[in-house]
Amino acid sequence: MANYLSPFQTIKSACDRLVIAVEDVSDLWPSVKEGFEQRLPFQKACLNNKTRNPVFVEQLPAEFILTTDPRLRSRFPQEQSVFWFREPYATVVLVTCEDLEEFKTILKPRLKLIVQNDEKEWFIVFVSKAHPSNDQATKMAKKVYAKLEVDFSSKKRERCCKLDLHGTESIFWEDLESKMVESIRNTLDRRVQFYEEEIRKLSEQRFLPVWNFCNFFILKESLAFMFEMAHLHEDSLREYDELELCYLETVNTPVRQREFGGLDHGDDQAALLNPVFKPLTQIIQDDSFREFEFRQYLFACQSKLLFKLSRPVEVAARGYAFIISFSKTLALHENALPFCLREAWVITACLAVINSTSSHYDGGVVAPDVEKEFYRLQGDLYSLCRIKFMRLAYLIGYGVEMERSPANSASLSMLPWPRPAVWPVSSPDASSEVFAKEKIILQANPGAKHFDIQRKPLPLEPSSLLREANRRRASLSIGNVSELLDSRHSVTDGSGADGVSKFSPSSKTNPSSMSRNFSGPVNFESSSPSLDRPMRLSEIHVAAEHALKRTISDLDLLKSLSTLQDFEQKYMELTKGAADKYHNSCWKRHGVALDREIAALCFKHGNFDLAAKSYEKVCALYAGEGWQDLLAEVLPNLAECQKILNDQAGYLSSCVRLLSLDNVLFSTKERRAFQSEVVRLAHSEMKHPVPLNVSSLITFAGNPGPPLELSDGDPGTLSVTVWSGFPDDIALESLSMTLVATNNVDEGVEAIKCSDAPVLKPGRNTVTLALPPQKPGSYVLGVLTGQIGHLRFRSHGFSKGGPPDSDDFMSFEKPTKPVLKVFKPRPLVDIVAAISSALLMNEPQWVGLIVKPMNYSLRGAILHIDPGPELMIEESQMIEIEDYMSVMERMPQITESIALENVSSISTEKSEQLLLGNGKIALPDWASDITTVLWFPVRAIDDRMARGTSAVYPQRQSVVDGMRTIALKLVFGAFHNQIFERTIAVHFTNPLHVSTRVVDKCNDGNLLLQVIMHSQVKASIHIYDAWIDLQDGFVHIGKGDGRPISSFFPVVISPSSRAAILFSIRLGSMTNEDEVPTESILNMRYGVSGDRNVGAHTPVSANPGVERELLFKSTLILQRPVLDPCLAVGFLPFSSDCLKVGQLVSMQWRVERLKDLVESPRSTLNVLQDELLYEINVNPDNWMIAGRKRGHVFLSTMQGSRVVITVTCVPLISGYVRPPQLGLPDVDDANISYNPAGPHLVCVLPPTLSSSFCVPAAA
Amino acid sequence: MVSQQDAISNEPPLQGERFSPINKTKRLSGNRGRTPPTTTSVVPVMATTACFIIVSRNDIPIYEAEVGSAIKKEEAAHQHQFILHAALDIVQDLVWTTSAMFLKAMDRFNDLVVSVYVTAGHILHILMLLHDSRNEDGIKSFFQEVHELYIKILLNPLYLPGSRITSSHFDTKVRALARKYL
Repeated sequence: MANYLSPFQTIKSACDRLVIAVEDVSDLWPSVKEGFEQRLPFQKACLNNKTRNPVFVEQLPAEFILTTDPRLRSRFPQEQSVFWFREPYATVVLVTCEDLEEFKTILKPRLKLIVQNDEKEWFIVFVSKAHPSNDQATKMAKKVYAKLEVDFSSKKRERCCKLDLHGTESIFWEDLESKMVESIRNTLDRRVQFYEEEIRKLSEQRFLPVWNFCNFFILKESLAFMFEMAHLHEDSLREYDELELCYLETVNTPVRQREFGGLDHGDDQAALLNPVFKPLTQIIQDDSFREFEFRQYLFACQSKLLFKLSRPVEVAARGYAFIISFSKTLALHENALPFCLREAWVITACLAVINSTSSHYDGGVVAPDVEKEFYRLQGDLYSLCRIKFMRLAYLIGYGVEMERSPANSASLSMLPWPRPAVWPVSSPDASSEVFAKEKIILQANPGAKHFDIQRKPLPLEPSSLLREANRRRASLSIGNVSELLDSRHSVTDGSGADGVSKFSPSSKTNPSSMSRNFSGPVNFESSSPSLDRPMRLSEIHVAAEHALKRTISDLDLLKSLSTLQDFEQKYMELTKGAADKYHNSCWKRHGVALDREIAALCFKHGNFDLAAKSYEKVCALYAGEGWQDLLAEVLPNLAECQKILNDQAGYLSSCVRLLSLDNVLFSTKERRAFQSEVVRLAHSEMKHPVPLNVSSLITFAGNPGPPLELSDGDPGTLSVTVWSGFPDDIALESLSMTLVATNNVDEGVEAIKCSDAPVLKPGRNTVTLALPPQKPGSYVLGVLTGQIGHLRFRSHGFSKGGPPDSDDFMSFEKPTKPVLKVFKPRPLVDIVAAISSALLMNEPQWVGLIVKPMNYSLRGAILHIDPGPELMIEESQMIEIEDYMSVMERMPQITESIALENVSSISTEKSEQLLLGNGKIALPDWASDITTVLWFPVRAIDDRMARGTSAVYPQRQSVVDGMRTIALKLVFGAFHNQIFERTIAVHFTNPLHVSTRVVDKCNDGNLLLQVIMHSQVKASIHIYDAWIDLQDGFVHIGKGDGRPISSFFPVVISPSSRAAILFSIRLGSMTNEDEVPTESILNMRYGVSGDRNVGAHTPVSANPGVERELLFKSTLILQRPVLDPCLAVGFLPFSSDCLKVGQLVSMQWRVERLKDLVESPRSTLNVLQDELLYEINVNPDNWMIAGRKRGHVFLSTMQGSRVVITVTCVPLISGYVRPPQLGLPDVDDANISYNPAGPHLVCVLPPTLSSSFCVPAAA
Repeated sequence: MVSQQDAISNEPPLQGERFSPINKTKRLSGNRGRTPPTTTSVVPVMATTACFIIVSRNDIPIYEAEVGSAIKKEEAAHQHQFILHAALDIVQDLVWTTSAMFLKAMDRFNDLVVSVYVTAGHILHILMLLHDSRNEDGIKSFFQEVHELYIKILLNPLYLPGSRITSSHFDTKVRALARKYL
């Protein structure tokens, strides 16, 4: 059956759609052909797939072929079973007949003959040529058709349909289509069954020696092809998948050695998407196929179907997997294959898959996941292609131009060298090329790092190429290899260093380049490498290049390896492709690794702008994810780009980032280089100075412990710990810090400057900042700003409290520990008077001030004392200050001692005497935090003499009289910025209040005058002596000096108690002399014993030992009795019982003359003696008076004459009100006797409810 | 990263292509599942490479250690970090598709394999190991024990979650575990 392969291929290529045979019995086809072919392709065909499930196929193509066509006729019957797929799937029999007789005799037998073949699916189309207008013909045609149906259709299956040529019956076409599809379906089912049966039979023999894969393949592919023709692509694909599995099984059975293939010219170009690349007949081997070609063929068939199924993503996925697995297969056969065929194949395969999938992928309606997956696969393909391409380029000597990045290094250094059977040897006539290569190697400047960073370059090779290539040369013995190694060692040891270093300036940094030149100039002269001499590296490169040219047939690939420029162009294309795809698929880390390669190439080509952009992308990712090792590798490159581009801001920030990387990543020397760059730029003239963010480099924190606490308005000093990440000391021009209030964010923050220009040491520094008064609230550290040279920098970096190196400062949030608390305005100090009771007037007395600091130090405080009017400070005296607490402790003792009238001076242990200067005193330091009492002597001055009052009509003195004020101003705080002002009232009083009362009028005219002394102070008063200087009209009884019995003295009056002294006096004669006093004066000599903590006390004296007697004087008013009344006024009772508001009431006074007016010497003033002036005194708010308030009444001068004065009043308000009073202004009070006296108050009732009485709104 | 799979020895390489759940079709698994019968017996007792990294959320590495017994090459550290970093791309795709904590052999790079252990905490912490040994059980136990150690570190009130682990005790323990299991 294997010889069927060739015709099978021909048939397959010739046949591309289903065939429907047309048996044109009555030569009708030309007239109906158009109509039939219009129905193609079938719009919707319901077919059965392999598992007999209905599948709807859209646009099923088919072809009508007449049975007389040579295509159907010229077939050999024996082929049919295998190539059944190309046989017609349905037979349409076209007939017409207009005569029943004709039908019966001619047509029917003929039709019977045609349809007798049971294998065919057939049906009859009766074409009626009858015109609709021709009734006869139409009827006839109907009759014939009916007959036809009876003969050929069965109950099971309709096999006839009728076409009216002149009618337009759309039903017919639908009927026809369904019949055709039904036929196709049936045929297909039958054939599938047949093929399956065949395949099953073959499969059963699989392990028998007669087994032939080719036969199996032809059957299987026929089935697949039939499915494909029927547009059942899924089934077709499944067949191919099974075929592949089966093939791999046969190929992997290690029964016999097979040819692999891949030795033809052009095999290096992957044909994995091109099924017709090689005819299968060429790749047949024994009873199977060559693996190299056949597997590609199978994959191509699969991918073709997948593309037809619009599944480019799956093509990419399968393609990638296929390339990987096939690459491994290639590796197994590598020593039989041309040099580097494997690499070339992978490159072309990847590119082919990428191109075809991209062109088929429209990115339309796919799930985002699928889209990402697609891009990822493409990225993988690109990346794989790129690595292989780099490997080829390395072999021919472009390795020195490659970036030794981690990505490249990881990819290439773990990728083994190709393992050809024999490493290619350079031809003898290639010496010029060898020389050129040598030159490239020598000129290359591998991995010159910026900032003088010394790093061992990452390897791009798994092992030394030199060694590998020479080892694989067949002629080289093991001994030579060891010799080779020895020479390497000698170079490393330095013995041959002189000879080498001339040619290899980088020999110290690059061990692999050392080995390249191990043979030195000695071998250079011998132009042809003999077989026993190891090749030099340049020779290896040249040999590889020649070998590759022989291997690679792809012109594009050849071209891209021909020159360095072409290589770099292709390299860039692949790298960009991979990077883009990875970025599209959200594999940013893969993408970024490739971005770095793009940047490196851009940089090499002087395209610094693009390079910087790409490097920035890379750095952003590595920095964002905190992979510092990787960042440290890229960041110097970015910095270099920025330096070249003169992007000062970027360059500076890159330097700062370099500095802020982990210490171990760079040596101190390198870090110093970074710092010097920063400092150099900072001190140069920058065109556009930009603030630099050094958050990661300079961090700060408040001091540990509680925050600094300040009162409102106080300045202070804040010390902040600043960590510098610079490797050396760095001098700053200025440094300032902002404080951010935690309670209100929106308020503008003000920077606090450091007073001096600090020099930051590496590591921890403490910076002191002068703090101006801040608003109340709590503050956290905000931003650190400063200046290096002309460069302003700022740092938000908040370090936790340790050196920034050990902390991952990116990962935690800024703590909000406040560093400063400014309290709301509050009383910081309070000054109150120490005593509440009164002091002695006109005597020097201690006034105590309790100075109470409230959690605030009064250190250095100054108290200004300004006594008010009528108060003076005894400046001669020292001011005393003492601890208030100790005073309080002995307070019970003091009160007791006062009660016991035994006051002794109890001194406190903590006290001091101060001197008042210029109204100011400075408080001592010991008193700055404790409550103290400040005593200073004052004297209230009062010129007026104390007045005694009558005990009958007591008149209290106004308290205000003894009040004096002291204005105090305390200036305190660390900067004397706090001021406390207060005015303190101190009460002074006379020691005693005197009131008098006549106790008894004796029969003999003597009067007993009782003088009551009321103590006004909280101190015991000792009265040593008392006497009265009487006024005119009073005399002492006897010849006494006005003193009571002296043995009574001294009288002690306890605090706030009373005592009395009796004097006996009598009325004397009036002298009318001017010098005689009109007031009596009580004189008293006394002493006071009290404590200043309580109140009045012994006056302050210059010499405290002597107790001085004090003198107290008080006036007493004695009133002589009324002796000569000449008028008597009597108030007559009201006429009604009760007064009501608004009710008229008459007030009546009776005035009676008691004495003849003539006798009175005083009444000479009265002009009209019988006329008496009266006046009603009344409160107009309470009373309305109807009539005259003031007037004259006639009163005879005769003794006993009477008159009644009547005034009508209306009370205006209810309540107890004072009634109107009658006054006689012309008559002296001493001459009027009120008898009976008028009432003090009268009761006025409210008005009756019913009355509507208007009260005036205001008087 | 994409890598080309080549066998160092002459035996067919084991499990070549990158494992990924999406491109794991039947065809591939059929291809891959075959293990050459010689492999288990031929595994040489040699120096192992292993690079261990703990990655906190935000993908920040908080602990790194080269725990392999191979002689440490200076340049290898860069490569290992690079490979592990790139493998995060796959972790982020894979981690939400499975409830397993231990994702064995999640990425391959030539003969190096990346295994990952995702902690079950609310915050994503990933323990990644780049290794060349095939001892899956050992790796799993290693991860589990390191996870316990890490939890102990987390319980330290002075340790700020997400910051770098600087405890030398932790380091010693991890290295001891690596010697034990890897």
